[in-house]
Amino acid sequence: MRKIITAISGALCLFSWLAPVSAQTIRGNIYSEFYSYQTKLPERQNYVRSLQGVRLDIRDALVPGLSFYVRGRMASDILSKLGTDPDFRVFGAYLQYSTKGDEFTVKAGRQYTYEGIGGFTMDGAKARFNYRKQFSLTLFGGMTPGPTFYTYDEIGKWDQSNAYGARVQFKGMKRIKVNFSYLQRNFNEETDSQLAGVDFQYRKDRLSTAGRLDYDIIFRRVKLVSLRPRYAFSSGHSVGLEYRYSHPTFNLNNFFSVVEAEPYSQFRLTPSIKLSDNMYGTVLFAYTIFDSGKDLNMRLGGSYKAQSAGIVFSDGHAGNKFGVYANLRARIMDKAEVFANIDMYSYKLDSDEADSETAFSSSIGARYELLQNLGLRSDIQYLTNAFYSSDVRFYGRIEYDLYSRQNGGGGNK
Amino acid sequence: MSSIAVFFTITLAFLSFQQKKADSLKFNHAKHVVEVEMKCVDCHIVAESDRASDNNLPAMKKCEECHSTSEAPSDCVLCHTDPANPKRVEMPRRDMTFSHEAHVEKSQSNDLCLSCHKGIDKVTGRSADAGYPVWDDCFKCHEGESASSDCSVNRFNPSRNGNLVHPVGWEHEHKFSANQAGQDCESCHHSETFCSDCHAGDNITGSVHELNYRYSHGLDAKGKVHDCQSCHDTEQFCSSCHEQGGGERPLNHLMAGWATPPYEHGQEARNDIESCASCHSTEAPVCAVCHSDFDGVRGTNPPIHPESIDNMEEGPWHEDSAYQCFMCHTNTGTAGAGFCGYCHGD
Repeated sequence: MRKIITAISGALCLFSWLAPVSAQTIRGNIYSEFYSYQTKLPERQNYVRSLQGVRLDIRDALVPGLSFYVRGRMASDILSKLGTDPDFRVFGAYLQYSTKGDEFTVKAGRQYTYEGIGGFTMDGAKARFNYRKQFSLTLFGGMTPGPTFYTYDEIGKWDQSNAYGARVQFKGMKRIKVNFSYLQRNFNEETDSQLAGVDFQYRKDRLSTAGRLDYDIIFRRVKLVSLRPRYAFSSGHSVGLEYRYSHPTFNLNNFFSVVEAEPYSQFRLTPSIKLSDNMYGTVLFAYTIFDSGKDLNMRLGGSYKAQSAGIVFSDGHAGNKFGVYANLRARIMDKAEVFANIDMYSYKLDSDEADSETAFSSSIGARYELLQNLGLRSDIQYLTNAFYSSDVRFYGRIEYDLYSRQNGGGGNK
Repeated sequence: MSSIAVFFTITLAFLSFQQKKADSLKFNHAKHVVEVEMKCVDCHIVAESDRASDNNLPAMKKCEECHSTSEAPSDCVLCHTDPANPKRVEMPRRDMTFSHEAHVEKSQSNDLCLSCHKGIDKVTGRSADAGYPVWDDCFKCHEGESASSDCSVNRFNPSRNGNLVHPVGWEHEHKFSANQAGQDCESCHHSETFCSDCHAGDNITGSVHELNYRYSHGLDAKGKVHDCQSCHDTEQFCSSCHEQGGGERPLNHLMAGWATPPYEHGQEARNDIESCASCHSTEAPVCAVCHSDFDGVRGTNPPIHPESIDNMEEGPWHEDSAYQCFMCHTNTGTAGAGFCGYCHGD
């Protein structure tokens, strides 16, 4: 399979070289990253990880409606070779065709799939039929990673692990969309999980509400219920609420599927207060009720022009935490910006622990647009945590954004 | 606490510095547009502007056509908040392509300008950062049929345009809105192309989780603050680090009564089985050390199964003699005996 994916990726890269002859839109990104760090346990060891990646999206290539997509990266270490080096990973590599009005779309190859229930990467195909933007039917199926894989390149053969499912969307009503989903995953030719779900989205003026219910057919129980209204005031303020009920369920081939796990409920409140044109106060308040405990989590902060700062606080079932965070940035000239990220807090992973751990992480860096579409970034990171009293890391990246569009294009694929 | 105070002081100073820096010119749009009835294009020469980065603000000599500067510097305060240190208006960076020329070629009426620059005719004070259109306004015309809704036309980069398109905190909120009625992420973002910029899986820059998240993520995972599964397939992702025996045991495992009466681990497992699964291997489960069917008789050993398992008539254990059930239960292959006898009588 890895050879096949590699061949597909190579072919797509080749296509990217040929496609400008006829492609209407090409978007891509090529990057090279370097990340240095040091491990001190069990012995002092320096690493400089090198990651080379490419993302390429070619639409309306050769014929209108035909698109290619590939994203992958190769990782290796310059100083200390790891057993898995060079680590080659293809996240996606597929071919897509859409009719002019999007009545029919088919996508074949390695792709991330999310159709209402569960998200996973598969080597397979997905087809979507749209009828007058009122109704759509999506069918998908493919080979998937098994229950104990560590990398996507270990996607199995069809009889080892596969998944298929469908999603039906009713979009014709003015304010509401209703969707039905089904997903079945199989392992070693046996059904591993069967999930069905219904979800809806309602929107009227400034009120929007989303809700969903997922049902585990094998265990005959509700897996997830969520209701999430949100209201945006004309003054720029907004408030969101969420109720969430979840009953953890593992696939049959996971040993923990036989454990009688209990559900939990969570309430969330997320108001956002507009203080000025570009300044907002933001709050996250989450209260979770477990069978034998409760957990409170709060985040109070502010945001100004894509910068943010605030405090975090949590206490209860999951331990406790108190600290501050800030993400700052400043454009120092037209093509350069500097930024700083800081997190500092003390925490206990279990409330019964006697002592708190202290963690501090910071990074200071800069981005610079060297030439049009050619960017540089470098960071110095400094961390202290439970294992390292002082940990300095360096990060550098050079990337090139590829963009090409020929006249006469249109549509929104 | 002192370090926190210093931290906040620096942060507030940083933010206030940026606020102050932007406020150098004032202009009363309401007076000029409503009272004097001027046309927008009288000052803003946009008829030949085909780039978003064009500076379409009037030069000072345009002001001088009506406002005498002979009284300067006393009259300078009419526009300048700090006449002793006058500054040019800084044009914000425009990471998109936009042609005013194409939009106003049929009409140069104020109504057309105000259809995008909403409310600018009511602004009496500082004009900077006010009256810029939001993306929703664009889509009222660019709905995909009469005008293209493809963002690649405009080469728009939302991540560089702050809150122009999406509200503050969008990096945390967008997962909720992705399915909202009327929302269509793909009209701007080709899903895999855009999502993978952040959701790359091997993020080492702290832009998704903070750099020390490796050490503290247990708080969020156990408290269900973040839904780890929205990005990570937890059954596999967690175990790549949390392999059984590979790390230190959590403190609660060392408490009296954890693995002995009253068996605190049972309630903890029922509360948060995902937490157990993050460390304990599914291939050699520690649970099976005690939770096994030692005598072959149903119901005589510590129970861990949900009630719903009693209703499972079909399952892989019928075909697979090495199935995980037989880690604990005795596969007799005979009706009325052992595991098979649970359902199949004599």
